[in-house]
Amino acid sequence: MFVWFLLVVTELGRTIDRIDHAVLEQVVRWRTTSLNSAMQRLQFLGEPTTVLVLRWAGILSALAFRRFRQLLVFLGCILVSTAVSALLSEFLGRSRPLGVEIIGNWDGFSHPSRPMVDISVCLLGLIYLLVPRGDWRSRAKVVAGSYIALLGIVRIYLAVDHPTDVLVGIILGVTITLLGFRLLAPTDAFPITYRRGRSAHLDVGGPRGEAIRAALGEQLGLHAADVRPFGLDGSAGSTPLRIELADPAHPALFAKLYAATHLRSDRWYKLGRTLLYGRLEDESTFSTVRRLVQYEDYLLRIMRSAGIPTAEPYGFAEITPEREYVIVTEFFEGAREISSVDVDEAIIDDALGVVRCLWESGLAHRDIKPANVLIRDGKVLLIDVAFGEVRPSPWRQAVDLANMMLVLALQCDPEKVYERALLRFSPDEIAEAFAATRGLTLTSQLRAQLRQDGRDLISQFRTLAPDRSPIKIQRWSVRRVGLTGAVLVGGLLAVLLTISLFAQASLL
Amino acid sequence: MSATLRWRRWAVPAVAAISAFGGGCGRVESHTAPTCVPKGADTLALVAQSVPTAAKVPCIANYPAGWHFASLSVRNGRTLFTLDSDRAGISAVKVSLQPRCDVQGATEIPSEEPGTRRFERIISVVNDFQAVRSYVFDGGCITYRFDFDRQGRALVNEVSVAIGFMDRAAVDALVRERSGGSLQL
Repeated sequence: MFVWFLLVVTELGRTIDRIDHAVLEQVVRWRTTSLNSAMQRLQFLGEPTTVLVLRWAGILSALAFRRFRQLLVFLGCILVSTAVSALLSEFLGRSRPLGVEIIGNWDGFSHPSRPMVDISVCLLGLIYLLVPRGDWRSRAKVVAGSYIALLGIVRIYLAVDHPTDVLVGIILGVTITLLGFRLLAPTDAFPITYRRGRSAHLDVGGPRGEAIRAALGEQLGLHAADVRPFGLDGSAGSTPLRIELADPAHPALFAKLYAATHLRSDRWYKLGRTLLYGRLEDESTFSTVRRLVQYEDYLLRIMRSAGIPTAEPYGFAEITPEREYVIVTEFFEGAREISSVDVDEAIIDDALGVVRCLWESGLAHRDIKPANVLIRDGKVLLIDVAFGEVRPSPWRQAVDLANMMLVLALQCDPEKVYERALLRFSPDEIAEAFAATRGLTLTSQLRAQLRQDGRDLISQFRTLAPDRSPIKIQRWSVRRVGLTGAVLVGGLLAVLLTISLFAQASLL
Repeated sequence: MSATLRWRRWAVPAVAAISAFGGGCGRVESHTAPTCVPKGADTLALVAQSVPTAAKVPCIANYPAGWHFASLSVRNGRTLFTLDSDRAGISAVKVSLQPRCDVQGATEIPSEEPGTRRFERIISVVNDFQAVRSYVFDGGCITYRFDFDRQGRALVNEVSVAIGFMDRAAVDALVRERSGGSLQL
C-alpha cells in the first residue's frame, strides 16, 4: 500500500508508465496477424467465465471432500482479493495502455490486472484444496505457474494490461492465497489426503504419529514401536489405534485419539438430540477435548472398580494441549464381536449379568451395541464407555437392558434371552425396558442389524413381557423452544450470508 | 487453548463474515466519476479508450441540486455511467458511449452539441417518464436513457446541464499534459 501511495504522490509513477510503455511498444513490434489471432483465442484463459468455472470447481470439490475449512479460506481469498484489487483500481484509476493499439477485451481500470489476480487465486486455491503436499503439489504449482505466465504474456501482447499490472496482479493473488491457506488452514494441521475413511479418523502418520509416540513415552512411560489405526469401521467418534510396544513381552495396547473435530461432532450430535427430543438426561456438551478424555478415563476406572469387565485404563496423554489427546487401555487380544460368535446360555447370562452389575453400581453404559460387546473365552467384555453415566435415571438403565437383550437376540431366539433375563430381572423391569425402547434409544449399528435380521425383535419382547404403555421421551421446555428458534434464525442467517458471499465473489 | 489456536479458530468465519457484510468495496463496478474537469482525466482516458473511434466522450460537467454520480462501467466497446436523483429516483439516467446506436423510430431534433445529431424517442409518459436521447457523431454515439419517477419528469433539462461532451483531442491533450508528453491517447 505504501509503495502504491508513493507511486501516486511522487514521480515514480511516471517513470513506471514510461518503462511499461517502452516494453509494450517493443511487444507491439513483434505482432503478426497469425500471432494476433492465436493470442486473441488464448484470452479465454482469463475470461470471467473461466474464472467462474474454476471458482465453482474449487467450491464443489471442497464440498465433495468435506474440506469445509479450506472452502471458507478459499472463499475468503476470493473476497479479499476482489475487494483489494477493486480498492486499488479505484484508488489508482489507471487507464489501459496508452499510445499502443489494444487488440483484446478488457473491463475497468487496468491496475492491478483483475484477471491475473482472479486466476492466481483460483489456481493456487485449487492446489491447496485438492493436491496433497509433496511431489504432486510441486508439479501442480509448476502447471499453475505456466498457466499464469502464459496468461500474462497474452495480456501484455494484446496490450490490454501494462506489464506492471500483470506483475502486481500475480503478486497480489498469490500472496493473498498463500497467506490465507498457510495461516488459516496450514497443511500440517489440515492435510489433504485421499485415503478412504470417516472424517473423524485422523491421519496418524507423519508428525502426528511422531507426537503420539513421544507423548506415550514421556507421559505414560509406554515406548511404542508401532501405532496404527485399528477397527476404524466400528468407530465414528474417535480414531481407534493399536499400539505395539517396544518391549515384545508386553501385550499390545488399544488407544483412541480424540481431537477438536470429535468434540464438535459430539456437540452437534447432542444439539440434534436436544432439538428432536428435548433435553434428555446428560445431553450437556464437553467444553474441551481434555474434559472429554478425562471423563472417559474416569468412567473406565469407575467401571473397572465396579467389576464391569471393561478394558484396563493406562491413562491418557496430551498430544497438542486442548486439541488432541490419546487415551490408552488394555487391548482385548483374541476377543471377537458378539455378532460373529455363537451365543449360548452362558454368554447370555454373562451379558445380562453385566447389565445387572451396571444397575447395581449406579452406572449406565448408554452405547450398548454389537461392536461394543466382545466375547473372549466365553466371557463378555464391554468396551467404549465414553458415553457412560454415573447415577443415571431408571429410564437410561432400562434402555441398557433392552439394548443388551436385543444384541443377544440377534444371535439366538428372543424367547431364550427373555427366559434367561427373568433369572436376573423382574418381568416388570423387562417390560419397562422395552416400553422405553425407541429409535432414539437404539444406536445406528443396532438399528441396522435389526433391520437386516428381519424379525421384529422389539415387538416379540414386548409380547413376552407384561403389558406396559410406552414411555414418552419428548421433553418440551423453554430452552428447547428457544434453541429451536435460535437454530432456525441461525440457519436463515447462514443462508443469507452464503448468498451474500457468493454474490460478492461474483459466483452467482 | 493457546491464543494462536483460538485466533485461527475464529479467523476463518470472521474473515468470511466481514467480507460478506462489509465487502461492498468488492463490487466490480467502479465509483470513479468521469468528470469533465482535469480531476477525472484518468477516467476520461479510460472512457475514450472504450470506443477508440469516438470523436467525443461523455462526462459529468456539474451536479445540479439533488443529482449525484452512482456508478461507472467501462469495457472495450462500451462505457455506461449512471446518475441518481433525489426526485427522479435511483439510476434516473443512464449515459452510454458506444461505437454506434439504433435510432430507428426516434425523432431527430436540432442538437445543442456541435458536431452531433440528436434523436429523441419517448417511451412512456403515463406514470413514470421513460425516454431515450441519442447523440450520433463521428465514430460513436452517446445515449441517455431516462427512467424518472412521476415527480421527476420536469428534471430532463437538468440532465442536459449535468452531462457534457469532451472532444477526443481535448482528452488526448490532458493525457499528454499529465504524462509530461510521453503518452498519448
